[in-house]
This record gives sequence, C-alpha cells and structure tokens, in this order.
Amino acid sequence: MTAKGAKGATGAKMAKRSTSSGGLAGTTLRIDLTTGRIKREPTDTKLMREWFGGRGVVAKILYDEVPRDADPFGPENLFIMTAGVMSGCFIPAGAKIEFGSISPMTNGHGDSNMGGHLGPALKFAGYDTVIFSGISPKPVYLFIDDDTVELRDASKYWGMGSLDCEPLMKKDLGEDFEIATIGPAAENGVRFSCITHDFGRQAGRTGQGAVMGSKKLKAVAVRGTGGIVVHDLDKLTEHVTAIIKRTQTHPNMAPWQKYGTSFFVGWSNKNAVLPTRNFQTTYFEDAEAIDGPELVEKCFISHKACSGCWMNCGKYVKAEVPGKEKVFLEGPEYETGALCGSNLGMKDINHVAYLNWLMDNVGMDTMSGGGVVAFGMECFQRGLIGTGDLEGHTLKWGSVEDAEHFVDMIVHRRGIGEYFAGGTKRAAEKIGRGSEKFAMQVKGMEMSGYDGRYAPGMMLSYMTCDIGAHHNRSWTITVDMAEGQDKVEGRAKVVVYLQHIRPLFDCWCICRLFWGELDIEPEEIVQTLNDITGWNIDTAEALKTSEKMWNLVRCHYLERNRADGRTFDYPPARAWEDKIPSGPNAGKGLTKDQIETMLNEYYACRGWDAKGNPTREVLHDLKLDFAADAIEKLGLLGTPLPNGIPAVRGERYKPKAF
Amino acid sequence: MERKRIKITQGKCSGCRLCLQICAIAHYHETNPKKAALRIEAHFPQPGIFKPKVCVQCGKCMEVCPEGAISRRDDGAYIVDFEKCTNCGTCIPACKPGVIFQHRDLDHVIICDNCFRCTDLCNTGAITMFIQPAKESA
Repeated sequence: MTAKGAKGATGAKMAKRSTSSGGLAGTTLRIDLTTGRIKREPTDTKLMREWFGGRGVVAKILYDEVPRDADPFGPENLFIMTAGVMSGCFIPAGAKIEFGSISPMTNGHGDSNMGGHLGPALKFAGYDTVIFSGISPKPVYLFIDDDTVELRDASKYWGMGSLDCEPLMKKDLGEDFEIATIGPAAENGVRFSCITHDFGRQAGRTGQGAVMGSKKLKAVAVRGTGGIVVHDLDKLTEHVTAIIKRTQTHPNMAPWQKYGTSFFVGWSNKNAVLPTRNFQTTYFEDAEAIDGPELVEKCFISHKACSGCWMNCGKYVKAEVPGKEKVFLEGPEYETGALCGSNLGMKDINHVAYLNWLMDNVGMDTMSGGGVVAFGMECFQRGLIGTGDLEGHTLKWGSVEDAEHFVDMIVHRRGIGEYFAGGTKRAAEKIGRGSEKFAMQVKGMEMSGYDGRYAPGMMLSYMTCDIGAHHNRSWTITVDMAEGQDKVEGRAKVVVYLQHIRPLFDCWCICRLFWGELDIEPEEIVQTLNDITGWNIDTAEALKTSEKMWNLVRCHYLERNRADGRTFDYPPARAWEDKIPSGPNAGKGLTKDQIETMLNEYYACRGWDAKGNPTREVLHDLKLDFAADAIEKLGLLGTPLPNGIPAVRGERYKPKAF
Repeated sequence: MERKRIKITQGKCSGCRLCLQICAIAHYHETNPKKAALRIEAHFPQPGIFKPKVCVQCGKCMEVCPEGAISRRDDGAYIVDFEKCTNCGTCIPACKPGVIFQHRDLDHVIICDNCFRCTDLCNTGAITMFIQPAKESA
C-alpha cells in the first residue's frame, strides 16, 4: 500500500513505497555483540501470525534458540527487544515494547515490557524485532536512525544512573531519539535490574536489565521517520475513533487520569490486601500518607502519557526529603507505592517517591527492589542480620536513610549486599535460619503488591505465574471479593482464563489499563487487531494461542529446571503458616490444604497431571508435540488424565476489574 | 470573517501524541507522526512538562515563500500548493513555533491546513479549536 494524497488540499505527491504491511515494520535485526556483526532479515510473518508477536514470539525464539544449559548471564542467552503488531499504530495505548531473555531470577523464560515511545519509534525506524546474542568486549549502545544501525562505544555512559544517562544521550544524539538505558545495578549483575526509558518507564520484571548488563549493552537509542502500513486504515480509524469517543466519558477515566494507579494504595488498604512490612500484615495504619491524593497534593508536576494514551497514568513528580537533593521522577505508581511504601513501613509520600527515584536511577526494579529491601528489614527486625552486617547502619522499617544505604550495598554488592543482589530467594538461602519462610517470592521472583492470604485467587496467580510471582498474568482481587475470600474451590478456572486473556496484551504490545479498565470487550480488541493485521482471528483463537504460549513457557521451564512442575509452584510458608495479624482481615489466612486444593484444581483445569506437568494430550491439542517429546525425554511428561483433558481450559469470566 | 485557530492550554498536554498520529493519517493515510503538522515538545527531566507546538497563522511562511506556493484560505489556514512548492525550506526558519516540516518521502513542505482532527481527538484539553470573531481576526 502506498500513501494517498492529502484530503482537502491541493494534492499531495505520492510517498515512497514502504516495506511495512499488516502493522509490521518489515525488518528484524540480529546483532552478535561478541563480533559486532549486524544482520538484517525480513521479519518472519508466519512466526508473527502463529505466535502473535511480542511475548509470544519472544517465547518461541527463546525456546528454539537458547540452549537448555545456557547461563542467563552467558553469551548463549539471547536478549530480545520487539514491538508488537499493534504498537505504534493508530490505537490508544499502543505503546509497549517487549523484552525477553532467560531470566537470571527464575532460570526460565523471562519477559517484561514497558510503555513510553520506544516501541513505536522502533517500528517507525523500520524494525519489528532486535535479537542480541553474545557479549560485547566493551560497553556499547545500539544506535538506530532509520536505516543506520550501529553499535557505538558506550564507555562515556557506563556507570551512569539510568535517569542521568537518558538526558545526556538525548543531548548528544538529539531530543527526538527514544532512549532505553540500564543503570549500575545491571552493570554489576544485580539480578532484578530493570530497563528504563522516557524518564521513568520501566521494563522491571524478570531481570531483563541484568541480562543487558551482562552483555555490556548500556542503552538503545532509536529514531524513526517511516510510517506503518496497516491492513485497513479506514476501518481501523473509524473503529478506534468510536472507542476513543466512547471511553472519554467512562467513569473510570477521570480517576486514572488524575492519580494513575497510585490511588490503589488506599483501595488495597481498605480491602486489606496491602503488603505491609514485608507481607507480615495486610493493613497499613499510615496508608493515607502514601496514597494517590497525597502524591498529587505534595509531589505532582505533570501528567505523563505513553504513545497514543491520554489516560496518562504516569505522574511526573518531585521528591523532597530534607538533607537530600530534590529529585524528579515518574511515579510512584501503585506497585512502587505498595512495595517501596507500606511494605517498607514508609510513612511519607516524599520518602516513597525518593526511593522510587533511587531505584530507577540505579536501575533496579522497584517491585523486586522493594521486596528485597523489605526482606532485609524483616531479617533485621528478627536479628538475622545486624549493624555489623550493614557497615554500621541499621535497617529499620520506615527509614529512608537505612533503605538508601542498603540499596547502595546491593548495587555495589558490598558485604551482604552480594546475597541480596540475587533477590530474596538467593539471599534466604545464604541467611537461612528460617528466613525462607518470609522470602516473599515464587520461582525466584518477588511478589507484586497484593497479599494473597485472604485473596486465594491472587495467591494461586502468584504460584502459577509463568515468570515468577507477578500479578500481570492474572489479577483476581475483585474476583476473590465477588466469589468469596474464604472459598478456594472454583477459583482455578478463572485464574486460567485470566492467564490466557492478560498475556495477549503483552503479545500485541498494548496497555491493559486502557483496554481492560474501560469496558472494552475482548471482541473489540480482536477487531482492532484484525484491522491492523488482516489476520482475521476470533476470540477463541486468541485464547487458544495464548494457552499455547503458556504451555510452551511451562515446558521450557521444566526443560531448564528439570523437576516436576508442582515443586516450583509453592509460595513461601508464610502463605499458610501465618494468619493475617491485624487490620480488617485479622485472623484470616489460607491453610496448606487449601493451597494444595487450588493447585490440584488448577492442574486439572489446564489438562496437566497432579505433578504439575503438561500431558501429551493437551500439548497435542495445542500443536506443541515437539515440546511433549522434549519433556518426555526428561521424564517430565504428565501422566494421562483418567477422564481426558477439558475441552476448553479456563472459564470465561468478566471481573469488575482485571 | 470568522477564523478558526488551535488554542493551546499550557499544562494540560500529557504527551500522548495521538494528535500527531491522526494528523498524518488524515493527510497521508499513514501512521507516521513525522508527517504531522504539529509537534509536542517534551521538557524532561526538568521542568517536566509538555508543550504543544501548533500553527498560529502568523503568515510568515507565505511572506517568505519564493515560489508563491502558500496562500491563505478564508478560514485562516495557510495552504501549500504542492505543485508549486519546490521544498526549498525557506519557510521553515521563518516559522516561529517551528511547525513546518520536510519529510524524506515528500517533495513539499508540511503545513497545518486547519482540519482540526487533532483538536477533535485531544482528550486533555491541551489543544482545542476556537473561532476568532471577525473583528479580531488577523
């Protein structure tokens, strides 16, 4: 398709023919960092169609190309950056860019994405995907300016904080370059390091920044001036404009615009699921002081949006802490507010914002970072570590000074900072003495900002999430509230359904907040996808493809970690040994039997056996026979289910919010 | 005669740039913000604000155009005659808000033609259409 002339003007001259089609930019880059060789190849449209792009393509490439014994920090691990088929097209919140590699936290498939403007910029430059392999002999950054693609020396930027590096790179290269950087945490191998872009957007989870650091890849800088050609632009424009007009007045729009996700701190506290002092309790007595309204009143500068999304959940703020330099950042959004706020006992929104800035600048995920510092604080509370381990400092709840010093020990891996640089699971293995019980993680990745002890579906979501304890794959707090928080039976089928719905956003690289919070039906999202791609899929196919990804990632995890799946799916013992001690849900909690019941139901619902291993029948149904063969060789293929697998896995459910 | 203009309300733009996308679609049938006739300047890390840059209908482009390729329409818009425009770029430095552009695909400059698709989609109120009464119109 070529560009048409201007409407209503005196006649535009024709644009050059683009290689873009169906929402894809057309080119994939393969970059060997060891040799510096850059190879261009046409984007594999068949692969994109089968795996839906984004997370799906990341899953398949990692499965196919990374040896099972590859060290996540070694040259054989790949680091993939890909913009989805919808990213950069005329749709709201089509802004995401997906990163993937074998996670140094979980030793399984890892992926994470972020908004901002980098994903669209990559496609405007002409590229869908960049696949890095090897390790550079010296620090480099990837420079893309349309057809110019180069690895450039990054020694000038190496060692700089992420938030410090971005403006310098823009000054050096041009304001209209989109930049993604890592900070010193990633350079030093802190496993939960993130990637930062647009002065505060992060791909935080699964240690994608750490993998970049291991490859000596400091940053990516992209400028693109090309266009994206979609399947039916007129239909897309009409369909999307109608969605835009309709959602402008949706009652959820105004609070999201004003506070972003930050007002969820108060909501979670009111509903007593707010992690407090390392998930010891679920109600924070000072939550009001760190809630969204407090952020807007004390710290707010401006609303900040991702590409194409006026929901502008980003809040650009300043943090002022006496005795410290005034700092500027985007955030804290809900997860940071919870995990660097109540979970650390912080009673001042400026302190939470300051810690947010600190972690953003050193380049560590505020979610895992908050979880790790909270774990350290509980170890200190219980006398498992002391001032002698902390270079003379304390590590007390609510102390921003203590937290800052501890983060510095972790970033530079000094003393016990070395243990914590590996995350809570690895730190607990070193500290021992029962600390494993309150290392709040699953599969090596820290929990998100919701306590699941009186939200059983949420606990099951953490336990079974394919990348470790992350809420992004399935968030069930409102489901638990609607269906009964004392009851675990029947929750698994909803978790499975949501685990098929939510990852689709990460495939198509659109933001769940816009597309999930404003009563937009799944069918409308699929129509948007079809208008862009011409794939002509329906909702049933979308869900089945998502299930295929889920099972491929599970098999990949088993192939790398070589034990029955069930053994990896347990939360720390606090989940069933400790009842909630205070707040509205005091005395509530889960039993170990309930945990087992949920797992049994979940596996049956997925067509896996009771050991948590996928059966050949379900893998065959998903056209994953090659994965069945692989896990069978390892003795990890599920035993056939007596009554066969369910015809459809998961049960459609419309939560109040998801 | 009444004239239509784009009004900017400073402090309201959140930088989504949907306006750029719809502008390029409306005029070039392509999702390509670089073909839009407006820009959103981001001022980060400090002071941390977005500033929309739009045509203010000052007419400097028409004044300096050596080819006589730019004329004013009754509604106030300055329209480029693509057949006459040689893409010399003389108008670009003359444009105070900096919203005249060249693009590698095109052999004419890009100037706002008052279609107001951008203001129609702006949901934050950062850019809106306003009608200037005849006596105030320049």
